[in-house]
Amino acid sequence: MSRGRALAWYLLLTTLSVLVLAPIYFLLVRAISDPTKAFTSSVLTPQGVRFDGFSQAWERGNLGGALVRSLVVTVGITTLQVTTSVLAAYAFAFLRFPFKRVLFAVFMATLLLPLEVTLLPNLHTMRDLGWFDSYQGLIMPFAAAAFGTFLIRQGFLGIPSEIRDAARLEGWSHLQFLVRFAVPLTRPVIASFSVISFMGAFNQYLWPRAIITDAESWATVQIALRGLTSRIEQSNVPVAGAVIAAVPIVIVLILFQRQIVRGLTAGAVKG
Amino acid sequence: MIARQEATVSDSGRLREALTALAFIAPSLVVFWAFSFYPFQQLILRGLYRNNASGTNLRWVGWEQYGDVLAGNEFRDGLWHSMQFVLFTVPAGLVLGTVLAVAANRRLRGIKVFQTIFSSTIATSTAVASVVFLVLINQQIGVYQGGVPGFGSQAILENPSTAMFGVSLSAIWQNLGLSFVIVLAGLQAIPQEVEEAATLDGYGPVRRFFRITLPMISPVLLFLVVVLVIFALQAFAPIELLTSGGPARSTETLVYKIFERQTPDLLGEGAVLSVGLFGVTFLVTLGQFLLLERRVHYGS
Amino acid sequence: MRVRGAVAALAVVALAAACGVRDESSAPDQTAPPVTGDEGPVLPDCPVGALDDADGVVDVELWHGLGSESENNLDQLAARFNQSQDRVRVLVRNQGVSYDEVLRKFVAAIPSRQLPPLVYLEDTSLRQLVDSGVILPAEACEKADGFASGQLPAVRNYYTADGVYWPGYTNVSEPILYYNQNHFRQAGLDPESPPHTLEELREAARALKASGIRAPLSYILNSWFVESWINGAGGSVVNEDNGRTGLATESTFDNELTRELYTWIEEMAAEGLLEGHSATAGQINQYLAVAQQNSSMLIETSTAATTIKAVLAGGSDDIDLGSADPSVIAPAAGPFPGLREPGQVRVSGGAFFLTNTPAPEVQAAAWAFMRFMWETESQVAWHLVGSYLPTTQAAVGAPEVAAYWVDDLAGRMLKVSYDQLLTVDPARPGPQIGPYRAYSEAIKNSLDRLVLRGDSVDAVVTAADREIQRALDRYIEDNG
Repeated sequence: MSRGRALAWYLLLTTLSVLVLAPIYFLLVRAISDPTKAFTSSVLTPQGVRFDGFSQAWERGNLGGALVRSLVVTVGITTLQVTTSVLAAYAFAFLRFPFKRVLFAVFMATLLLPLEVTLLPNLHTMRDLGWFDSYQGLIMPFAAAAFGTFLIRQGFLGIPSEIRDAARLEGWSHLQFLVRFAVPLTRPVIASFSVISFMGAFNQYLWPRAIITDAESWATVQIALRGLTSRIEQSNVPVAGAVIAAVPIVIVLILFQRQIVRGLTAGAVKG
Repeated sequence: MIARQEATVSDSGRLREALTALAFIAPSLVVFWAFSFYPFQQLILRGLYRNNASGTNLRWVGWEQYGDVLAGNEFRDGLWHSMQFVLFTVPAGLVLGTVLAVAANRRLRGIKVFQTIFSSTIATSTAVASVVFLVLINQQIGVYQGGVPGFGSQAILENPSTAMFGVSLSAIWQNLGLSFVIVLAGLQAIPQEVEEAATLDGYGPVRRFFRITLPMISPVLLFLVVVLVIFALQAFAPIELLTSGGPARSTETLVYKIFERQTPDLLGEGAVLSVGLFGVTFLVTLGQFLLLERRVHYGS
Repeated sequence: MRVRGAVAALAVVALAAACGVRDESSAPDQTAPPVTGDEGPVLPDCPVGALDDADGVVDVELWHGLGSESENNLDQLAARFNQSQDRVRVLVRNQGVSYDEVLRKFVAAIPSRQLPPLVYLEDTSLRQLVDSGVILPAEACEKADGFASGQLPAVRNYYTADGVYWPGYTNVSEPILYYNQNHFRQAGLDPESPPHTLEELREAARALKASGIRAPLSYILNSWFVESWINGAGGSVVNEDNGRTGLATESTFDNELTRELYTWIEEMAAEGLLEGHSATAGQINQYLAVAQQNSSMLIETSTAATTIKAVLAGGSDDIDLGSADPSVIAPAAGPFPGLREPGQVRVSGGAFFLTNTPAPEVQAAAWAFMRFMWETESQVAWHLVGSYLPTTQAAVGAPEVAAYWVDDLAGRMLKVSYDQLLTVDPARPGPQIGPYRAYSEAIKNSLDRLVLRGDSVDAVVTAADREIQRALDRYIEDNG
């Protein structure tokens, strides 16, 4: 590529990057701005830098506790989803049993019943079980995932049958084969799904919003953020809170970018 | 090979295998039954009843309630607002995602940096993205406090004609990362020889894009459309955080209306709205399957 | 094909699942609401003596939706009460960011009877609570205990339904006019005399607009102010004397006063003199407008006085009016500017309600906490820390309150609100509406349409009237 053309592309790419990142830039500027000076300030640079927005957001929004709770819930959901998906995927990939096709359809059918549709009756269930403001209430409805089952089943189907036959001859039981061979061989797919599941669980809003009644003691990070935006505060406080809330997933994105990409594109591109 | 293997398994072996399968599937099935299928059935039933505000007068009203609600204002408005959200976010996601992906799909030094930047909005949750746009277009503290030119002088989020658009902006931005990643994967799957052959045949870059590239990534684009439509139909957080359904209920999507109907006197209506939402989602997914299957048969 | 299989699977599973919709009402009504006998209402029993028979500590859960200072005050009062004796322990539970959320959760718990002994709800929920049959009228406990609260008659009457007084402790708040004295000075207006009527407000707004303020009046489009304006000028929003002489069956919302009011709002908006903020849950734009100095005047609840002092005045009690620093806001308060006269409001605020579903000793324990709240020291705390208005002579006479009203900026603003409360006619304290939420939504929607969408006064008032009528009809139908 000629230098001129390369330069043109770099220019375009930089412009696009600025547009994509601009909202984040404004967010950061506002988070460290002195809100009482806001009406005279330009918007590009902070007038009067103040970092106490972060400490105020942390305290007033109970962000410390919220982060811990979010992490517990997220790890819980991810672990359960991966476990149930791996087990079910194994059954669909390697085992023969009656009604296999129907059951697989049943699994896929759950994709048609997202939480947004079943919200009201599920809340009724939560009330009957007394699971409002509880970890089990936040975790159990998401303990299984059809998407994960599908993805990991694809991965299992890719395992060469010679390995399966050899294991059979050696006398490995299904569980042993699963743990010693199937899972390690499909680690990339499982890792991808884990990361996607993790991100989805951490960023949940609707369900926690619906079942958390004692926000002070049970809010996850996303709900704590809502608490901050509906209090009459100086405007830098909820914004600083949003920055704090974004940090964990940004870290995940940086560490696991490749897995995330693979997981997101798994359904899109064959192979 | 496995089939040949299994053909020699005895009956008790078959039983054991079936039981193992049951054990492996059971955990997922229990969760699905408890939190997807059982609630769905309860949903349909609840739509046939009405109650008072204190929950002490649950009574049968029959399919009439389905008829009333689905033909009524609430469903129509909710559906329209949800559709507006879809119309704002999906084409934008397609176009912007493709633009970013095409720009970043080339061999340049440091291209990885740009790819990371373009995918960065994946890291934002809907709550964070909503706060980001609070800072941008909130009429008191936003960077831009005006309205949309041509739609009156009201601020974007306070004008019933433009509020839905304002809320969509947050979703459009948040979807950039996802759209980019998916379209890029599609572009990267195009064999180089195809591009080279087209260039050799004298196709200019624009023609190449529309005649060769676009058709080849159309399955990926279709997948992206479905994902974005599903996301749009499920949107809740941006609405609650930016406008709480207002102004003048102009941003109350179906999901928002459902969420607002948790009290016993509104549960019947909420249940019917939920079934309506299911119907819409089902039709969309059905449409996707049909289109995709056709593509596979007759397409590239 | 996958889709067909999925549909079949769905159908099979849906049918196979347990039949029958879940009952939302588990137990029949165990306690009847008070019946009006020949000598006046027959009150249910309030088991005040049950506390003595209880072994061990009795826990009393209290649900509320308060925030910031008011919440701190409630927590402190509960802590003090718990420490002062060892028979009752009050457990304060924050259930959300608004009255609405708390009410929603409370109502959701009614069918299963899993109700807290005490719940703090908005005054407007009174009718619905009475009709639900789960509230223990405090009057019964007062009679059993020989206790007299000494409340202002207007407040007492407001919370009296079907001839019975219902809540335990009552917190009163009123709408007042907050304004930025600096802006007034800059516009050539007297910073010590805020506008008293809507017409005066319009004049002041014009002067402020001319001096460069973007939207002089920051106005939140809720139903509370509309009710206050109409009630204060002698009008009614529903029949049966605003729902006080019987269950309201007809909407009288479409009347001359309403139209006059809406026309004023429309004209103010057209001239750019007011900025309307949709009254959605968690809305704070109306405060931000004043904080960002986009507006100079704000009509809002008296309870916001301490927050306004903290956020707008930086916590100080004396603002240098002559300061040249444009970032300095000098908040002050004037009475609610009425249609005809200032201070025409209705009784508003929140109240603690006792439920009749817990065990007798728990009900007695809850009442004990209410008695603690009625003590002068607690009332004074509600005023000084929680920013609610005192309703008894005892509280008003406390020296700290007198000093507060002079020395403290928030105190001075609250005094304005208290004076206003004294002028409320006890015979017309405000409406009693069962389907309050639906009625309120109808009004909010009409205001949104009027101010934010530019619809005509006639269209929005008629539409609101129809919606309110529908809500009333539905309420009567739902409650048999």
